[in-house]
Amino acid sequence: MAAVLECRGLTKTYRGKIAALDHVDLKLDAGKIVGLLGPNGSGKTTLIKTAVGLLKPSEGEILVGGLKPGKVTKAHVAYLPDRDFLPSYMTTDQLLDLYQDFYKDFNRSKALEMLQGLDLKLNQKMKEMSKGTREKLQLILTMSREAAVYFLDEPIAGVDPAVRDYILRTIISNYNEQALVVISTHLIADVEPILDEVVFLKNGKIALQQDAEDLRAETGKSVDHVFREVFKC
Amino acid sequence: MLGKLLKYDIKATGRILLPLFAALLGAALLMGFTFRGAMPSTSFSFYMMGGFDMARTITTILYTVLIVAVVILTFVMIIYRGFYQSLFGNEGYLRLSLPVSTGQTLMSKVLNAAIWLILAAFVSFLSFFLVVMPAVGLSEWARGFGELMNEVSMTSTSTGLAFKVMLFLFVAGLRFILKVFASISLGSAWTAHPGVGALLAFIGISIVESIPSHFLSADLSNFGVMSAASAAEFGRWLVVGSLVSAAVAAIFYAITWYMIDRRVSLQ
Repeated sequence: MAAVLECRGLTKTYRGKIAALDHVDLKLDAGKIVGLLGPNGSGKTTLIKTAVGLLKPSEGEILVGGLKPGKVTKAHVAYLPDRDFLPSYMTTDQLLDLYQDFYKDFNRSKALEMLQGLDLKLNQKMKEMSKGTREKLQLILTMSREAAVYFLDEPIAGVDPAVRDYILRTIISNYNEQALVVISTHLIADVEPILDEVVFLKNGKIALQQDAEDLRAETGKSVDHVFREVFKC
Repeated sequence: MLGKLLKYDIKATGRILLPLFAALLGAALLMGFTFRGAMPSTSFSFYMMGGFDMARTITTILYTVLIVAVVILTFVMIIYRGFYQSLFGNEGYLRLSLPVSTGQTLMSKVLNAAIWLILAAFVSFLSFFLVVMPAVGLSEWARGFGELMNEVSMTSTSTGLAFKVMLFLFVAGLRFILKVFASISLGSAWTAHPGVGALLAFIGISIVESIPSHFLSADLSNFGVMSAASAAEFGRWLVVGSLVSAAVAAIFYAITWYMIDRRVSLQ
């Protein structure tokens, strides 16, 4: 099967010297939930931003579905950044319209169904919502797309355990099973149960790429435990 | 997709500018009523007590503040809200990951700027004339304003000059906005200090821009006396000036497009 995401010698340097990504070679296939794991500053966000076209590689290339990130790939990639990225003055209803206007794969009825579970009015503005609710809404909009690739950058950072559970439940119950889901996080224990494959990033390089189940069988340890050993300070 | 992008850009800019425009028109009308009240036919005793003087002062200050606010905020909203926040702030994570081309994204910003510049100019122009409406009455005012608009929009003979002046100012405004767009885009390449980078880029562009201007600018001192011949010459100068500005604006557009499409580095 052809890789949905492929990096060939992918390098991204800042100010010409600091390598956030250092000659990364990586292939990820469809139909998997992959954990992109590493401590802060290991290059997780840089890799995702390069894949969605918000950063240009300094060297090498990154391909999504065999294509360089651009207008075509963006139509098939659902992206949840690591920050509030939606206009704060817009209401839930207006945001649903926006996603419907731009993404052909957006499933509005699925989004409305998910929203019913939240105590959220459709005419409520983003800026009037709590942080947890904003995170949930942004996730719902992202997961309501029937995309080929989902990039979820730190989806559970900075939210309480109840919201964390909600987010993880939403991811596993709503993603397209033919798709590739890449979740970047440093909170391994929380996401470990849903991961099919793990990629450890250390100082911009791939430290490990393995099937999660195989890793646990080989080492006799949880992914979280292996992560702590690899990234021991 | 361009139409959809433009729809969201217009809404984002308009949510601040439209209420401001409405306030300006309201202030112009209020000012007109207070000035009408100061005419001899009204209550003499109230006038003597200084009531209308006070009202006239307040409405004049209000109108002046609002017209200055319209000029400044139109540029601020087009540049800061419509461009910087939308593409280089957190919202850039949404806008730059939409399945649209860089050309469509940027053209939407330029059209948004053009629309709000024209609207701001029209609303300011309208507000000047609204001041006299309470004194002359609505029907008389509407007839006079309609005639004036007809005069201004005619492109032939002597009235063509007004149209050319407006065209020149419009293109110059757009050129300035695109210059700031280009500066912000160039500044973003300096990831550690994009604000300083944008300022330096703006200064650098201004220096480069000023060099050929010394050779191309016509000497306007000759237009002090507006004879028919000099009016025609002035008209030609305005057209040439508009074309030069449009060409320079196109260069700024190309720089901005290149920086967003090829060198994007969203922090």
